[in-house]
Formats: sequence, structure tokens, C-alpha cells
Amino acid sequence: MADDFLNIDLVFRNGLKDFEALPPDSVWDSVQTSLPGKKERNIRLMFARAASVAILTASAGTLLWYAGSELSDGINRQQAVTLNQEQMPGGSYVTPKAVATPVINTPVPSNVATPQSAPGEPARNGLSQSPEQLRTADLSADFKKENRFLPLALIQYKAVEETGFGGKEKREKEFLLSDIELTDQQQGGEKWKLGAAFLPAYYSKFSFGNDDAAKDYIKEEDLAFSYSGGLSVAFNVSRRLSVQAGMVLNTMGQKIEGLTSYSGFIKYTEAKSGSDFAIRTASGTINSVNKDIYFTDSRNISRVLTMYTADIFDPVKANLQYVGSSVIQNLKYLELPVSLHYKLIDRTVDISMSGGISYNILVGNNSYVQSEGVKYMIGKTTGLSPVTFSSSLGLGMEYKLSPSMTLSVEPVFRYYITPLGGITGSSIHPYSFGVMSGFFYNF
Amino acid sequence: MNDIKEIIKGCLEGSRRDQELLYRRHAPKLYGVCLQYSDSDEEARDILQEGFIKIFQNLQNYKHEGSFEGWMRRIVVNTALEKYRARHNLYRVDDIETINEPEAEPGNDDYAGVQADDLLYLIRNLPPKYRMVFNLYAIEGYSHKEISEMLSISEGTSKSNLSRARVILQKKVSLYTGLRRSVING
Repeated sequence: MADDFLNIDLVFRNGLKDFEALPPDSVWDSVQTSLPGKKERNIRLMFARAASVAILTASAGTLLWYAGSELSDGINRQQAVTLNQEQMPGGSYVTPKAVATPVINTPVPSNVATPQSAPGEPARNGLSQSPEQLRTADLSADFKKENRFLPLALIQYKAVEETGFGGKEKREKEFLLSDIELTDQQQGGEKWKLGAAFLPAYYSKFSFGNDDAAKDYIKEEDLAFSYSGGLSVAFNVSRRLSVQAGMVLNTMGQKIEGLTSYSGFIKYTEAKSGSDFAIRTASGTINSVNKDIYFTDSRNISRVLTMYTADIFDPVKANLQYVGSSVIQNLKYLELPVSLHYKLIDRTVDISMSGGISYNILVGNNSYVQSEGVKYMIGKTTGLSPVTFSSSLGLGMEYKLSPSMTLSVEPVFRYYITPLGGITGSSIHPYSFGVMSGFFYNF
Repeated sequence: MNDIKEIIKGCLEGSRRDQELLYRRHAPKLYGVCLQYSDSDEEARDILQEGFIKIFQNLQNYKHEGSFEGWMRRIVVNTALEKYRARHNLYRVDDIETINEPEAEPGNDDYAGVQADDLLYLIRNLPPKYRMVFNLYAIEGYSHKEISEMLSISEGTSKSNLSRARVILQKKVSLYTGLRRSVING
């Protein structure tokens, strides 16, 4: 008995003494990311990093230039956008009475508004072969009972002997297939990722505060479908954890219902400058600088502030041309997000969750009315926060298209921690659901 | 071929090239050890990765006395043991088992021709507690006293687990060789 035991010990000790198997390259990739040390100069890597920095710098410059021109333009206009209070009795705003909405599709006169368009041998590693995959026919009862413990090689050996087919080649093939599977599972050990991503999203909003007027305004405001796109760079801290930063231009729009607009008002206005109409929204006030557009609030909730109230001026009798019944607010933010991504499943298709925060700079702010595809710009919204913070939470999937290219798809929930703006007593916090998709280059 | 001392020196100086050279030279052998101690290929990869990180981090402690490969192997085996302990401590029942020396079937002492990957397959299909003791005793050559300290079990449990592992392995190998002989002899 003792000899048998000694013998079995020796069988395994000697049999496994020189056993070797080739580990996947991803192991070394992970090991080297954890090691300090001077790295040999890698021209390709340095070039890729330099290129990514150059692209990001150029993008930032372009966006900031754009933002700067928009903001300075806004400041210049802001100085001119003051209601002509000296023309109003008592120096106070008067809310016009609602007027009947005329028939839609009235032709717009061409002369009233200017349309604007906006080494070693391979591993013989078939070790995790499922026993159910093994051929079990024609085996003895005892053999069948025990075959779940038997290696693939033994089953194949017997099958080969019985059938006369070449077994060595078949066996080699089995092991090669296993190797391919392992190769597919290798995860890139690249430290950096550079990519471009696009995120269409649907926005809605929370509002806080007890201001009744704000509540009435919010009922008439619908945050519309929005989209954002930009560049991002990620650094793999470890095999599973990465930090991502980037630069994104986010466009979000809002449709304000119940505001009827007419064109042709310019011949009736007495003001040479400033604004005849101010439109209050939940997030701020739009001061119209378009002298040709007349506004009235068909919902009668005190949103249009003007001296040209319905008892003073009737747009229908004045034969003004109907433009539309809503106003579009369009905001653009330059966003600088930073997020952490953790791989929950590290396979050919990775599943990861992410959380982050973004610093958002208001770079675009305009409002317009629209008729038959033609936009009539009316001005900017005042009272918006120039900078906001938003948070994000995502659960994404990454698929490696090639060793250096990754496709990423990630449903994302975003919430604005700080309000976009708001009239006194209220604050508006948008949130959105969207699916971010992008391509990343790993290096 | 670069001398191992030069490679180690380069690694200590932070040369990534020497670190990779050391890894490429020894990873296949050590990965084989990892496979012996693990349930899955993924676990084996984790052991190898953590093991090599420890090897590089502790390289300055290697005194060039004794086999360098043996030194690395001990680190990898210890890493495997840490993983095993972390996974099995919560529900370990080894110490309350009764120690009954199992009966082995009549031996078949002709085990020639059993291939290494088949032996590995058999070891990896052992229950983990038997596999760890068998590896440490039969392959690495540790005593039951040492194993009991490594795995935080009693010496009796270590002996019992070894016996059970041997019985299972002996049955499998006998089956293998017996079947092989019957196939060859028609």
C-alpha cells in the first residue's frame, strides 16, 4: 500500500517536473503596468501620446475660441437688451391679454425677417474541457461512471484506436482551438485609450422651489432630444480600473409652448434699440432683440413682458403674419468630464460601470422661433449659470474590434448637480438618459 | 544568452527590457505550477500575475544562494496558497472531519506513459483541499507539519486529505493505464 502511494506521488512529481504552459500575453501586460521602472523609449508610444495631446489641444482651442466669440457677442448684445421702460406708463411691465391664435400656415412675408440658419511553445491546454463534450460511446459501465474525471486525451486515444483515424492530429487541433479561445480572451494591457464618442440623449428635468409662477412655466417647457460628442482619453490604472477625461460639446434644446409669435412688427415699434419683449422661462428670461417679432402668451400665465399689451396693440388687426406658437431655447455646453470606469467582467466583451463628474461651461445660448423650417433668431436667455456641474452613471460594454481598436457602447444617466439657472424661488436640474457610443484607439 | 545575474541586476535597475526577459524565460514553467494549484485558467492567470509582481518587488531580497527558479516557485506557490486561504477560510470544514485512512484499490504500478497534461487534468479535478495538500506534499516536498501551518489545518487533516487525494488519483491513473493497456492489447 505504502509503495503504491509512493509510486503515485512519484508519477505526479516526475510527470509534472518539466511541465510548461504558455500564459496569455495579457498577464505580462498586467504585470508591467504594476511595475515601477524606467521604460525604454518607445517611439510609437511617444508619437501616439503626442498626437493625442495635439488633437485635444487643437479641439480645446477651437471650442474655447468658439465659446469666447459667443460669449463676447452675448455681452455686447446684453448691453443693448433692455426693455424700453421709458415708453411704458408707470415704468412697469404690463402683461398683454391673450389674443386668438390665427390660422396656421399663413404665408410669411419675405420682407419682415431675416432668416438665419443656424516566445516558447504553445500551451497544450485543453484542461477546462467540459466532460459532456467527451465521447463516451462503447465504454464499460465502470468507465462511464468515472469518465467525468478522465482527460480528453484518454477518450480520444480510445476513439482513435477504435476508429482508425489519426488521433495525434485531431488532438493537436483540439488544443489549438483552446489556444485560440485563450487568445480571444486576452485583454489589452495598453495603458492609454484615445477615442471619439457620440451621445444622443433624452432630457427631462427636476425643479425645486415653491414658486407658483415657475411651476406654471415648467408645465409649458419640454426639454427636447439632445446630443453631444467629443474626444476622450483614458488611462488604465490597473487591468480593471481606468480613469477617463475628455472634452465634449453638448447641445440641449428646450421648447416653450404657448407663446404665439408674429412677424411684421418692425413698422409699429417705436424703439430704435433695446427690447420690446421679454419672455420669462423657468431657467431665465429671454430678451428679444428681433424688432420684427411680436409675442403674446396664449396660455395667459404672465410670461411675456411688454408695453404692447393686447388692449394697446392687436396683431391680427395690424395684419401681422403668424410665425409660430412656441419658442425654442438652444444651449451649448463645453463639458470637461472626468470619470472612473471599473470592469465588472473582463472578457472579449467587457462589461464595466462608470461614475463621474463634469465641469460644464456655457458656450452657446440662443433662442428662436421657427416657421416652415426658417429660424427667426430672437436673442439670448439671461440668468443662466455660466458654469454647472453634472454627474453621470453608466453601465457599458466594450468590444475589441482589433488589438488596438475598441467599440464602446454605454447607456448613461446624467444629472445636473447645480441648476442651469432659474427665476427667483426655483431651480432647474436637468437629467438625461442616453446611449454613448464611440471608438477607442488603445496604445 | 544573458546571464541570470545580469538580468536580475537590470530588473533591479528598473529596466523594462530585462523585466520582460525574466518574465518570458520563466513564465511558462511557473504558469504550469499555477495551473496545478488552481480551479480555472483565469485563476491561474491571476496567480501568475500576482506572483510575478511579488517576484519583481522582492527581487532585492534574493541572495543568489540556491536556485533562482526554486525561489520564484516558492513565491508563486505562496501566492496560490494565499488565494486558496482567502477563498476557503469562510467555509472550511477540514478540521472537523474524522481521520479515516481510506483503502486503496489493488495497485497497478505500471504508470508509464501517462502524459503531463493528463496528470494536470487529474490534479485539477481533485477537490481543492485534497489538491492543495497533495501538491504541497507530493510535488513540493513539504512535511505535514509545514502543510498544517501553511493551510491552518491540523497535521491529521493534512494526512487524511493526502490519503484521500492519493486514493482518487490512484484510481484514475489505474483506470487510465488499464484502459490503455486493454486498447493496445486489443
